[in-house]
Amino acid sequence: MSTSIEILSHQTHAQLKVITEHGAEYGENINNIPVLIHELKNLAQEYPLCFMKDPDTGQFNLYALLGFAPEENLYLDQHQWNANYIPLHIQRQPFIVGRCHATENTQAPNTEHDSGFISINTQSKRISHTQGESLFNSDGTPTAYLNSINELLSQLTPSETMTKVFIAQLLNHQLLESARINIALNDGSSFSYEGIYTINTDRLNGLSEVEINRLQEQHFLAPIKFIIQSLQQLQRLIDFKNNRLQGSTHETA
Amino acid sequence: MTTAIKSIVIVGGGAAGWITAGTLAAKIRSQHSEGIQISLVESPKTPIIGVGEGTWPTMRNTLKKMGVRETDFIRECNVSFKQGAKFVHWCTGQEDDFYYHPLVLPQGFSEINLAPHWLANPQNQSFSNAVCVQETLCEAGLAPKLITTPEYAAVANYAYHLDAGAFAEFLRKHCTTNLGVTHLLADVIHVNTANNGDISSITTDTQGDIAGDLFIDCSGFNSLLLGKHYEVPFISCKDVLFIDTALAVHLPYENDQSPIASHTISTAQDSGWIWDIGLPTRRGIGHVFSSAHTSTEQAEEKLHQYIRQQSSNSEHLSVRKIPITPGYRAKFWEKNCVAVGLSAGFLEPLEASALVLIEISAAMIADQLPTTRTAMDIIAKRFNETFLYRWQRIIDFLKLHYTLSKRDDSDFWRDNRCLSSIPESLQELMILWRYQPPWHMDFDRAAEVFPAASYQYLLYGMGYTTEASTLGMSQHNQQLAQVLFNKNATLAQQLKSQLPSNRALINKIKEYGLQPV
Repeated sequence: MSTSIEILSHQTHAQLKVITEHGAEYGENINNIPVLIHELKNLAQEYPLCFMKDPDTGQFNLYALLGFAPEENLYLDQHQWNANYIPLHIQRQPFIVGRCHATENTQAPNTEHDSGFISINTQSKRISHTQGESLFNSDGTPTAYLNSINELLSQLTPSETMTKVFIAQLLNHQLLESARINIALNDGSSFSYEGIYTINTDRLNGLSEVEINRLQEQHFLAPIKFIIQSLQQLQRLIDFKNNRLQGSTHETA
Repeated sequence: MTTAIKSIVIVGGGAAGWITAGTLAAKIRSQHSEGIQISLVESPKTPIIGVGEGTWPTMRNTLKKMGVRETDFIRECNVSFKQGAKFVHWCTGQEDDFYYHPLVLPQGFSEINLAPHWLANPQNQSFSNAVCVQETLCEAGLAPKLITTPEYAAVANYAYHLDAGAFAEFLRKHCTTNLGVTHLLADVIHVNTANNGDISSITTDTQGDIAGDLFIDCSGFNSLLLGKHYEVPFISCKDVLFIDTALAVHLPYENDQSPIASHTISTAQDSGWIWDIGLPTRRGIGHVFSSAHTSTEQAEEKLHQYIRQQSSNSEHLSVRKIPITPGYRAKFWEKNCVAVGLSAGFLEPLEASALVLIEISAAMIADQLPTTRTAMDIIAKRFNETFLYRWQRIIDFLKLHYTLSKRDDSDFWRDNRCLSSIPESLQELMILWRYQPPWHMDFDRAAEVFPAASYQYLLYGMGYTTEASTLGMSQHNQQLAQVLFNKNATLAQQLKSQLPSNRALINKIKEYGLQPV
């Protein structure tokens, strides 16, 4: 997917609109998405959550699983995302927090813009001039849509920092363990996830009172529980998949 | 006497002293509620030898058991990954003459011996290439794992190249900070004995008398306790292994992103061989030779020739000369004193046996640690038997590198094949291997150092011929062998496309670190 990151400004982007529907054409046909510690409560009701390593750095991050095969998002049905809560990293598209991005190819912005502004990927398929949500009113003020995006993005950076601290603490307490998750589907096929890590519950139960209290003070105990509970949502993924398999059998029959 | 063993004194602070201290301290902590006081007395004057820069894969477990993070070890000890050794010019001395002794076992090694199948039809492949992936990985300069592979886990089995000086320092920090080992800087000036001949204490110049129940001699070539005090005889094996001198240099890289070889390179010369070990910041290169077959001047010229072929940075290198007396002590454990490291013996660094001997000595002392003085004599006897066997097997294995050579360009190589220089145990095996390839039962002792696979890589790397069995090979085994050869070829190509270069992985570990899980 091509990216061209520009700092959002009324002058340059007055006419821009953003398409907010869902779909594979917007890069949403992915089987996992990075998530943040502050959205775990919402996510745990609907998505299996786990840890995986970044293939380039080996660093752990927190993810919601969306499907089995690499381009399979089982929550996505044409333009419909079948869940009550949608991960922030999906919701924020095509916007990006801050000025520095690995693939940024615009000129270096002014230092006075260091905080509290947003960038946009102008190569995104969501960008349009004819349909979607407007970003600016005719008088140059941000629309309600852009304000909501602003609000959303302002949570991202602190939440990303906190997610990193959270993961570091889990590693310190040796609470992550490699998991083997094998899925058996109704058509007799099977799938197993590679490189998935979950909370080591034996280790969690073995923590001392002092360690547990410390996690509690840091507000990390609830997120740990959400992640453990969220594994029940694997059944939802399996059901989605079985339904699709059944659907395709009917089509071919 | 049923005196309980409550304190251990280690004399010497090189890799031997600190590996032993760390292994013992970690083991005692994990097994017992009551501690044993471990002190390490290090001379502030004696420099550590620091040429043992190659390890075995065993080092991963040794460090892990001590509670060391692999990321810290790699960052602080100037570590790179080692996937075996490449032996150049050992067989014929011709331009294209090389073979590998990799660390990965042959495919299906627990169920089938692939050697006879390869011998019957080598299909233009080296033995190591036919049965394992590692030669391919090494020739491509690739790392044995990914940045996502957890600490100490491997995609392809690996060992390390390291800076021995930094390593001793790193372990000192770990042992004193995390494992409760007491570090004392002092020189031993006298050894005090009890009535039963045990060492009761050592008198030091600045720390007074240090008493102990068990003394571990890690004093290097000095062999202060076992050699000097107990006068346990040294058994030379110079009649078998002729090499007695090393000339060592550090060679800088062309630039800080130059490739790092992921194996030790050992290049045969007319009267010895040259080691070449790539660390992230420099290469350690040295010529070990037989002074009976060449002069130091000629040997140094060979070293410079080698370096000139490798690098344009070859000027102004300072060459360090280290005498080697190959051999070992007649006993390693005498009374309440056991020697670990150079104080127990030394051999040319051909198969990186120095550090592994330290590890397995420390592990055996830790595993069988006598709890009373009465138990100690029995453990000592066992230890002596085990390590006598191990030293002899290592000597046999090193000698095999020379006896298999077909080189006829110097007396060094011809003399090496002279029957009177070959231990009988090795002569016997070489006769056996004419008719059947090395297999597990040839090396069936728990004390074994080299597995049968190592003998296979060496024999068939050097073109040794084992006759086909007069009984033929079953259809089933022939099919299984073909399946495994194909599987290996596929896997080699797969890994070649997935693994990063040795340098790239080291860089990433420095930047991000490996995860513990």
